[in-house]
Amino acid sequence: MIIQNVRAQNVLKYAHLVLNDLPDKGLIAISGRNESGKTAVVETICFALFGRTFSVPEDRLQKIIRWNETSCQVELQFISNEQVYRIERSLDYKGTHAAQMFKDGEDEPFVTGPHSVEEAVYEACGFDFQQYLDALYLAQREISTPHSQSDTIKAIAGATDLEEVLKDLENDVESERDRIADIGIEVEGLLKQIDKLDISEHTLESIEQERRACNDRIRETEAAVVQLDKAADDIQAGCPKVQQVGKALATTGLDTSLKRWGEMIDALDEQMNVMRDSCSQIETDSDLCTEHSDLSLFIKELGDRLDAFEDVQDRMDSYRVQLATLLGETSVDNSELNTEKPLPVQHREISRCISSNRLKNAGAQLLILASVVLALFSLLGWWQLGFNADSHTATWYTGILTDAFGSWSEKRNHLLQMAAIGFGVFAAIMIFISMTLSRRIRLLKQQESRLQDRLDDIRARAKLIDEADEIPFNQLVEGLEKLNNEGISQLLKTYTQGMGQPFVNQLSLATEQDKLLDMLNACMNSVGDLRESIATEIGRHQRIIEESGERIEELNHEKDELRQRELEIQQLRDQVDTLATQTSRHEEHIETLQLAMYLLQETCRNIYSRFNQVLSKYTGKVMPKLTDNRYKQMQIGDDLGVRVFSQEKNDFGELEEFSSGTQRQMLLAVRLAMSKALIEAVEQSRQFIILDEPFAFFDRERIRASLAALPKVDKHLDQIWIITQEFEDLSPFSLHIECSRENEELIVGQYTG
Amino acid sequence: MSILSWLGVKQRFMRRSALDEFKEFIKEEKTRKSSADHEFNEEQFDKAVELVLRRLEKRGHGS
Repeated sequence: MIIQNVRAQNVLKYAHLVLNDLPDKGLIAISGRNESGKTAVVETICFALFGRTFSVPEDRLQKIIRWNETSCQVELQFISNEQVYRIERSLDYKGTHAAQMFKDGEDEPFVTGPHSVEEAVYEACGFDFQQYLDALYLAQREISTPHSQSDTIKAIAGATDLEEVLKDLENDVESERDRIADIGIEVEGLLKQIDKLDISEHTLESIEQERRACNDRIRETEAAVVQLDKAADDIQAGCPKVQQVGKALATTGLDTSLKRWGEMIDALDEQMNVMRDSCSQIETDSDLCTEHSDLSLFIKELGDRLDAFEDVQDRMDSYRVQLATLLGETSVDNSELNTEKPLPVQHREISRCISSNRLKNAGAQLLILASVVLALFSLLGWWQLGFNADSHTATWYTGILTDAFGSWSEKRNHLLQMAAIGFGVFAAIMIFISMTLSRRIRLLKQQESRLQDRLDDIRARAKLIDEADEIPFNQLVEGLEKLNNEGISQLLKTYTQGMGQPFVNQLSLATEQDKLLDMLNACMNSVGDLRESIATEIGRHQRIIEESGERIEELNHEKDELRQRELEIQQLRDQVDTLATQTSRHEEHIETLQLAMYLLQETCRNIYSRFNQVLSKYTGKVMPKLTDNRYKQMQIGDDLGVRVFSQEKNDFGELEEFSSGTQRQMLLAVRLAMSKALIEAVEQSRQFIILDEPFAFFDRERIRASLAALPKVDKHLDQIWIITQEFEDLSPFSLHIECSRENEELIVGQYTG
Repeated sequence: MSILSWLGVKQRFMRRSALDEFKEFIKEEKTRKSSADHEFNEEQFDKAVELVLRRLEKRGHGS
């Protein structure tokens, strides 16, 4: 890009600025004293190209308009890659900014409007305002190394898109992190909600336990109510029973058996126990419900009185044992004890003895009869055989005797006489024996009769004792007294005169029975009180049931709420899980983005590294020419930091180690290298460059060397504008524009406007 | 003749499209990573490359 013409009206210092027919090759000098308008010339060119300058902020662009004027116009013609363009631009005090861009020979602009013109300039020249400032316009300011991150470097190196994408990715990473942070906050909120809703794992269990306890309490209390109802009924029905049983006791007489007394007392005691059991369901101080009630004590006392007879009974039992021994009811061997044999045994022995004697007596009598018969038979035979041998009787005798003895002779007749005598003697002996036996039998019978009487008496005594419980008590006492047993009599006397008085004494019995009747009559009154107490107790139980029921309702409600909370917690946890999944996805995406960023950074680093190598080489070639071969080698780091090889030090040194003039020479070299790089990057065949006060710290020799070197820096850098206060030698310049403080117009070349 | 031309500078800075620069770097980088000792997550690498390529294409194929 080469500037051909500049025409301006009311821009900065100049009412009219006209630079016509500018040389398209060589050095153009702009000189003049301070505030003579040198910089205004190049700022006018900058304004024409980009609609702004480096010295006037964009938001105060009206400052470009000359003092006391309302508007300004500028027209710039340039050639770029063999195409001539013309830019017309105007600005008024209201900020109305207009711009048009024309192609050579065309009357109509091909773009209109400041923004479109800016884009068209970029299209035509390959650089924008910033790149122009960084690479082609060395303004009147401190020269510094270009910033490695400047847009110009990126643009020249061709990394703008990569850097933009990198920036987008960084923004994406930031957005992802923001999203993760948002999710974190959201999760934190959800977790707080969960914490707020969270239920202790024992809560539901404790509610269930309490509910079960309430149900159990209701069941128990209902059962208690049923029992209380039953107790009320039992008590209600119990008192008449007590009265009924008690009245039997209160009306019985002295002729009541011991057993009956016991039964009646036990029955009354049992009824009282039933009453007390019924009372156990309730808390009461009623007489009926305590063992110390008058009636209970009365029954106990009566029972004790009856039990006191046990001493007598013990004695009776001992006596009965003796009787049993006599009666042979026990298996004790009396002979061993050297006591009397049991009476039945004795009786049997006597009976046996009588029978034996009777049998003996019968035998004796039979022998007597036989002896008498035989004696008479022998005597008759002796008589007949001896004294009437011819008789038929004697013959009969002889025949019998012959049959008996085989043969019989008269000689043997005396044997019959002797036999008769012998049989007679024998009969007399038998008669004596029989009489003895009869007497003995008579004595035994008397003994047997006495024994039987004694046995009957003892049996009667035993029966009395055996039936002691069954027979009327007064008869028992009377019977016992008749036993004539000293021990029993003594104890019986003690009993009947003491504890047993009511059972044997009508007056005493009547007194006790009156007391009993009074107590029985009072029973119903106590029952009334008791029923009232039971009703109160039932009411209390029913209140417990109602309260338990209400508590169960509350617990059910709490349980429902807990379930609802559990549901909410689950939903919140699901949300947390979903967010955690989202976080993982975002983190995964961040990793991908970071990897993409790494790849982009590395790509950019490669580009910048290559660019810096080229820049170093370019700068290294320019440096010797600007420094009269004093400094030849230069290194430009990745951060565009400049290090120069000093032959004197025989080492590379940092820029700060050199003099200000040398530093500026080196930086000018860097700037020129950048210009070259830009020109090559945008593929401009020819390019202008503006250097505003580039030799501020240069000595005369360095200025001369620089001016000589500048046109030869690069074949594409054709038009080089140099601004300074004055030049000693104007011979290197193709054009010299001299500015003056007093002039409001600057016209170079033929003015055709 | 300009100084740089006179010195026969062969290392002229050639600005190429961002897409081409990136593709070339990726090709080398993938070869490096694949032959490295540590585990190479090719899937993630491809995903990252695809992401960058999409963005670059969206921007109009580089500067």
